Amino acid sequence: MSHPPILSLRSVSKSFAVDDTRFHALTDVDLEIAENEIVALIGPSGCGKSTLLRSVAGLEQPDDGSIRIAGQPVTRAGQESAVVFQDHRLLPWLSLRGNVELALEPLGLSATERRRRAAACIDLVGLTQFADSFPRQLSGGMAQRAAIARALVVETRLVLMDEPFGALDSILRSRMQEELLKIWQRHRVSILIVTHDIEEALYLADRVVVMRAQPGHIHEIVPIDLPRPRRRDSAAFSELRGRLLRGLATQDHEVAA
Amino acid sequence: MSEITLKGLALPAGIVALWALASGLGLLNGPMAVSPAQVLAVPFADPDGRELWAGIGASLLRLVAGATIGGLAGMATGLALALIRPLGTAFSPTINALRQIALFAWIPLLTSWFGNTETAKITFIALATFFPLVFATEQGVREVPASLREVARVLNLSRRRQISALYLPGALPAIAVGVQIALISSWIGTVGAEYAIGNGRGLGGYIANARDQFRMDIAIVGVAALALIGVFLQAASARLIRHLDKGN
Repeated sequence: MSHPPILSLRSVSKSFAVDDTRFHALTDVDLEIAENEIVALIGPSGCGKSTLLRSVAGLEQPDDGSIRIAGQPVTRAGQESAVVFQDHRLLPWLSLRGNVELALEPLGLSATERRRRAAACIDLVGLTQFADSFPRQLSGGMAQRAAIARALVVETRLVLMDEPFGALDSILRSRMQEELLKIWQRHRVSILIVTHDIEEALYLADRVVVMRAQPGHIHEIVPIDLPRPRRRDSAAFSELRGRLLRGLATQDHEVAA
Repeated sequence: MSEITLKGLALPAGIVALWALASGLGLLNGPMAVSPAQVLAVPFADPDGRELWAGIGASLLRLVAGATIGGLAGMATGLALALIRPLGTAFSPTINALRQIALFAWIPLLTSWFGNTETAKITFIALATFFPLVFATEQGVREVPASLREVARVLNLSRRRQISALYLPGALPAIAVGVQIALISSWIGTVGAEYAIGNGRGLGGYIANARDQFRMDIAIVGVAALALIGVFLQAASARLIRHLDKGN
């Protein structure tokens, strides 16, 4: 890779105290993400995938190691990255437009510029006619799309997604995955996405990072060299799914998070 | 009017009817005996009784002044206690202890500090509003979900915007309940301060004068006005809360 990585983690470790015992959420994690790359993190609960993402977002402080975004060490929340959570987390008292524009406020743009950029992003996720609706008036899928618009509108080079489609039904989930790819192709951002869904990882990612628990660590990194749009019923897709399943299955499942 | 309101009116209406009957039959006599018709005429016909309207106006103005000062100070204090941890640990116990002081126990203190003045009254009303709002705001801000606090952090919102876009709107339902409690307490506080501190216009002074002149009819009118305005304030704030609840 000729470009410097947008995200680099060097021997990152993090542990929590749980009832007198240390719980090692992450041990010695090394990972790099290139510009415009989509990397998926999969693994059983307790493998540290969410802790890893939250550390990159600046919401957790690693005990050891370094996390750099575009060369800068992460020292605070929301530094050079945008986050999409599993639940949409829109502010209930603001309209969809209000929520998206709120994200732009710290950028110091003029009100008209904020409005223009918010409108463009709301259009990108196909919610223009719902721009003045409040979160409670939106369906789960629409609210999640709004959350994606809120993350994209600030135009950070790195977008972090923590099981963004986990709460949606499977039909909606695959449609959202297609939409995310379309948006990604137009916006060219790097995406780090946590998922527990092997197909989602295979459909979206350039590389899939398989994590294991106790202690949380990276077991293997699987490059997915399939051309897009990927067909979920192709032989190569099934073969990779088999490989990832085996990587996930050869360990004790469901370690308490 | 709802069915509940109508049913609720049955008992007072019955009492007034009995009262009218008793005075009509001449069963009530003596200087304190007045008829409902006399009482009804007081606010309009009696030269002293007509003072009612100016009194209500003065009391409501005082309520607005005191409640605004106390309410804003209460919200600011509650916000600070909830958001600035060392401040919360240092001041919350003291403020909670002060809350335990019965409201009217402040009057001797305030009158010795400020004399029988308007300042003493406004301060008293402000105190009556302050405590419920400190508590409600602190509680409401603390209950803003951690998930939304994280959003405010990853969005890089300034402290000021975190307060105006996240904490205050998030605490609004709790603050509204605090306002409802504070309104009742400050209305009682207003009339109580006027009654206890005496001088100046106001509903409390109106009742106090009626007592001094043995005017039972005017006293009854004053007490009825006090109660009706209290009911109205409560209904208005309940309506506000319902409106807010629907919004979320």
